[in-house]
Amino acid sequence: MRTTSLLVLVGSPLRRDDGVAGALRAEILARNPQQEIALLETDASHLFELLEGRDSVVLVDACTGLGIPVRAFDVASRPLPADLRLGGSHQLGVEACLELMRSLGKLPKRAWLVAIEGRDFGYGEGLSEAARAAIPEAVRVVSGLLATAEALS
Amino acid sequence: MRDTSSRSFKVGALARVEGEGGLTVRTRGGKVTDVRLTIFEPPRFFEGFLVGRRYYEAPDMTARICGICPIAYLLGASQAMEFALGIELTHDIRRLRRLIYCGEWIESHALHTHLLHAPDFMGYEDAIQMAKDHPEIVERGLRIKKIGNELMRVIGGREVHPINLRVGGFYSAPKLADLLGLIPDLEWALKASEDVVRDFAKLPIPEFERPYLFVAMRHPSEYPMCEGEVAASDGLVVPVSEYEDHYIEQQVVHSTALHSRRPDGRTYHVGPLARWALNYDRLSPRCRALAEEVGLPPVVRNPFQSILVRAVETVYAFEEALRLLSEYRSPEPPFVEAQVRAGRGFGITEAPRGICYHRYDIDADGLILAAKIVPPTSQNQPTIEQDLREFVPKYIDLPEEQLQWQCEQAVRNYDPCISCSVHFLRLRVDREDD
Repeated sequence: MRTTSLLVLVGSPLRRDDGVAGALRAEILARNPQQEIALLETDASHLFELLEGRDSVVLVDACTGLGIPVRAFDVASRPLPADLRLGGSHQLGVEACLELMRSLGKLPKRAWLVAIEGRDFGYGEGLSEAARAAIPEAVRVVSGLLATAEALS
Repeated sequence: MRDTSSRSFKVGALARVEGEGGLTVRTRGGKVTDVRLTIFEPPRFFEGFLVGRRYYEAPDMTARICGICPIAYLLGASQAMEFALGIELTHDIRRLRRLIYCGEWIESHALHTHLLHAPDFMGYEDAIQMAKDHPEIVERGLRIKKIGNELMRVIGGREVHPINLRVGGFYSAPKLADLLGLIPDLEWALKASEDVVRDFAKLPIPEFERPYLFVAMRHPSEYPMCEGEVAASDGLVVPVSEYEDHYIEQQVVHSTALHSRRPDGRTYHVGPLARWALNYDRLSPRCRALAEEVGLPPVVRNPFQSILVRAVETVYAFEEALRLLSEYRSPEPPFVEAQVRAGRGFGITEAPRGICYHRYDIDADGLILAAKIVPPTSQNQPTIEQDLREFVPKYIDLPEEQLQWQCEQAVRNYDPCISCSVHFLRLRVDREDD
């Protein structure tokens, strides 16, 4: 049976560490093959459709300005910190989409964003050593949030 | 009165465009002395790493250039390969391609008009602020956008980077029940999108016109999406295979993005206004009547009215989707098999932002030898710069903040997909003071 929570992995694998979220997919599925996962490589506006009507969602995205390798933010309760910069070049980014959904009262009841500190957002595939090293901790944090979401559903 | 003899000012980032880039405007004596889009361009890398790949990989690889308009790349690259391989598509495959393109037009136009461009005209910093006062406008736009996405999902397998399109057609035909299940939403959206046109017609539109050279596809009977020749408002009509004879790319010092021009140096304008001007007679009677009702003429030279033209094109896309569904026959087989051979192929489609050109050379084993992609925003870049050169002097007496705002709005008229053609856009306006 599919999970009730949705995991959204944000970022382009063609922009180095921006693709770190996608690198979690195999590990998450190894822990729970039934986990529903959406990959969002570019246009963040698809979040409107992906999150609509959901009770629980965990988003994962690369960022700069975090200061530590991995951190989870409760975006259902409050906006992301202003000094956190998520990966991606689109101006209607993840932060804007989440805030627009908040304005419309359409954010899921439980929504977390797990930010992973990136170093290299240049062109091409492959992660920096720092981003790669953060993956086990990110998987642990994401798995914990997904388990919490399932328990509360 | 403001002393405009020689001034300078700067503004920060240009928001609400897809991707990032930079723009600098300098004025002296009330005249614009310099306008520069300062940008970097990743699609050229795509052209590089396509070389040596198999011909059938090009559609999916080039679709990664943009998350907003993947269908444009999937279809343009597929068309070019089909040209090279001598593939003739069946009528039913061609109809299904047009149907999925309706979905992309709807999704892209709804996103731009409601979330990126409407806040300019309504005096809001962004859609988030606008949603606080006018949630009904944003919610209607999001619902329209979602229906476009749903059309792409049902035909393309998924709404983000569809996976069901291939050289020769589709991997599998969509289930008829799934397509027919879309009809109630499409019928709602057709009416809702007409209301959008009427609502947007009340927005304050800045006075500004330019004598553009419009370039768009032209089809014998249809408003252009996937098929046709390349037409221009000066009367030039050429087959897709001769595009590069008449539209050339040039390097400019201030940008890694190539600028497209006519060989005689003229800039040109692609996108909704160009499609409109060259194909008004191909619009449906319902859309023409709606245009007349809101005062949109057959040729629109004010780029700020592009929000209205996009809104009418959205109506057209819903109307066309319903028409195509009413005549739908499942393509059997869903694709035409390719017989690999060496050749050169060309493809152009009307992406939401304008014509998107592809050309590929392949060898006898189907390996790509050379690739060229000209996205719409690359073609519009010099025209955007020219707009600013003429727009700023007309509004030079505006308060600083308002002028900067309107400069950004003027750029957003083109719904520039910087991700397609560039990768970093920041707006900077310098007015040189003595």
